[in-house]
Amino acid sequence: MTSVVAVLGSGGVGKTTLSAAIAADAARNGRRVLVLTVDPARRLAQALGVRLGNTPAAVASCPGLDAAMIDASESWEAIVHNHADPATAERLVANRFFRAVADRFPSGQAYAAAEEMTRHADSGVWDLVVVDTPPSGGGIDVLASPRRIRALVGGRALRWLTGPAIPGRRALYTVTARPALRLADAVVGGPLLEDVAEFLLDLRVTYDGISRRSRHVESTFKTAAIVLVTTADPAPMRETSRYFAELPDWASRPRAVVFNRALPEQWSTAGRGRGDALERNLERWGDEAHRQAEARGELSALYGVDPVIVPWMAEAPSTPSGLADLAAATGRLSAKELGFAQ
Amino acid sequence: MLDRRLLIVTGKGGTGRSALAASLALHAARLGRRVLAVAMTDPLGLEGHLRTGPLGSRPLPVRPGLWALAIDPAAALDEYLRLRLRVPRLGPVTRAFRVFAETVPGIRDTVVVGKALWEAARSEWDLVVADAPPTGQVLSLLRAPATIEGLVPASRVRDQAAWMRGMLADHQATGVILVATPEELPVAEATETATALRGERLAEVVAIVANRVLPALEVDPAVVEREPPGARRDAAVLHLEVAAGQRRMLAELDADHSFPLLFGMRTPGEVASRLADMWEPS
Repeated sequence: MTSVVAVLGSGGVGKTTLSAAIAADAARNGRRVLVLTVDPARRLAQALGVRLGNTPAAVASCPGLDAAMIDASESWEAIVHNHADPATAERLVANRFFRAVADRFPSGQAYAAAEEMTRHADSGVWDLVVVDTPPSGGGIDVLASPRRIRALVGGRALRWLTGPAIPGRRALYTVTARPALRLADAVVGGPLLEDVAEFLLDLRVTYDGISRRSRHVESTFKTAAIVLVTTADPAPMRETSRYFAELPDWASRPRAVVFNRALPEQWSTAGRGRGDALERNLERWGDEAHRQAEARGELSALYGVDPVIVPWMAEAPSTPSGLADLAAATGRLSAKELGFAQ
Repeated sequence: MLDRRLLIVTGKGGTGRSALAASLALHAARLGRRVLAVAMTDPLGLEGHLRTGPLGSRPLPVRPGLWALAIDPAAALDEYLRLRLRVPRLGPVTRAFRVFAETVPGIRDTVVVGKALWEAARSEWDLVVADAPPTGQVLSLLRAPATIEGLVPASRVRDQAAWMRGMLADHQATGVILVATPEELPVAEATETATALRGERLAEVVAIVANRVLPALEVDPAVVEREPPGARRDAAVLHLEVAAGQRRMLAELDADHSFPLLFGMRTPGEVASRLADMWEPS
């Protein structure tokens, strides 16, 4: 049985590094691990092997660890090809509206990552799959992505066009929809909305597949261990609060909340003596440490969270063992501590 | 820069673009301009940094000379249909458009960009500052009018889209400000976005801004070396290491403005207010 760790948090908090660290630590402790990463920085890509691609590949110098990168630009095509017959899929991908929809539906990228995660978890090849989440929708949005994609593919526009029944591809629009489309096209100056309607009818073909699959993705999220990453900055703190405030039935309580880029707490009360340049420097970093302590206090008071502290590092680790050390040093991010039995 | 009608502020997520958008709006208002700050997608950033309550689709007075609103796509679509396309209200056509705008993001994006541009064209404001979505999403947003122009035959819809594309690309009217922290991915995204904006002639990049730059330590590294172990030394070493990494990234970014890391700031409002003092008078 494969266990899943989903690492969530808003942009720029260090999700990708922490996913890799958790994965490297679990591999070093004898598990077969896959880390699915989204947009790694150069250093991290090098640490995981520069030839990071869509297909999982072994990470050199870290036995048991495989890594793959989720390519979001191909994700929509993959979704369509997975869930429509070849002819419909081709027609959809070639449609002039397809790009517009694919580029501008942020949950699509998050959903594609989630589907990849589920596919690899189902394969049974690994003991643990660690998934990093895309910058758009790094918080709760990724968990909502299965629901959102169902809403898009089987949404209001389609129901309005076709009624509740699933029509054949060439089925005519319902009596209510058609005259309105004609009128609207008169404003647009051509058969734009009718074309859009055709496109949506094609997309409807994928609904049953996507509907079934996305519910399976949801159930994978339900049993996954959620690791929420934050810093003391306002945007990540807001995202963390949002996570707890909106915690709905399709999300679970995080197994760990990681407070990244932390400064030593004793700095906040240190010094205040000699008044030289080093002291003034310690004081300003101490102000920052003090603010961080307040932010952590807020998390504990509001949500009963005891955050996992990851210190502020000038540079991310550049080797798998450096990454594993990072996770191990916290003492709380091993597979066992995240709740997975040996 | 402040003579443009519309300044669009973007950057990778987590680089502080809402803080800088808010600070720029505050700065321009303090110089006596009539300024509208617009949240293009997520209003939480501006609400926090400008210390407003929840923003709606009507301009809310925030400070002397400064108003703010959050674009609500449904309200903007209504306005677009009634005022720009002159479609009668609540007819079946409106319903058809609304349903499709929900589904086809190109329409929704065009309306969102259009709302910022319509406000910028109004004589009420000297300047509109737009807090745009992160760089990952901003290009498709700014491309939307050109996309619609290419998809639609000659009509009022296409005329509107052409007007939007023209105003975005007009260097007198519109400028984009790119925000990056001196780290690898934010710098790479800012650089790529600048290249795309220029290459596609979508809009002029008027400024690249480096944010959260560490101030100088003003201590000789040799003094740090001699310092005995302890917090004084640790803080200095961390400072020097982070600053060295930042310098490498700043060399790649070639920024026009630089804003410091503000240590120990408690609230977003405090951050924006401090940053507002740091825009050079122009």
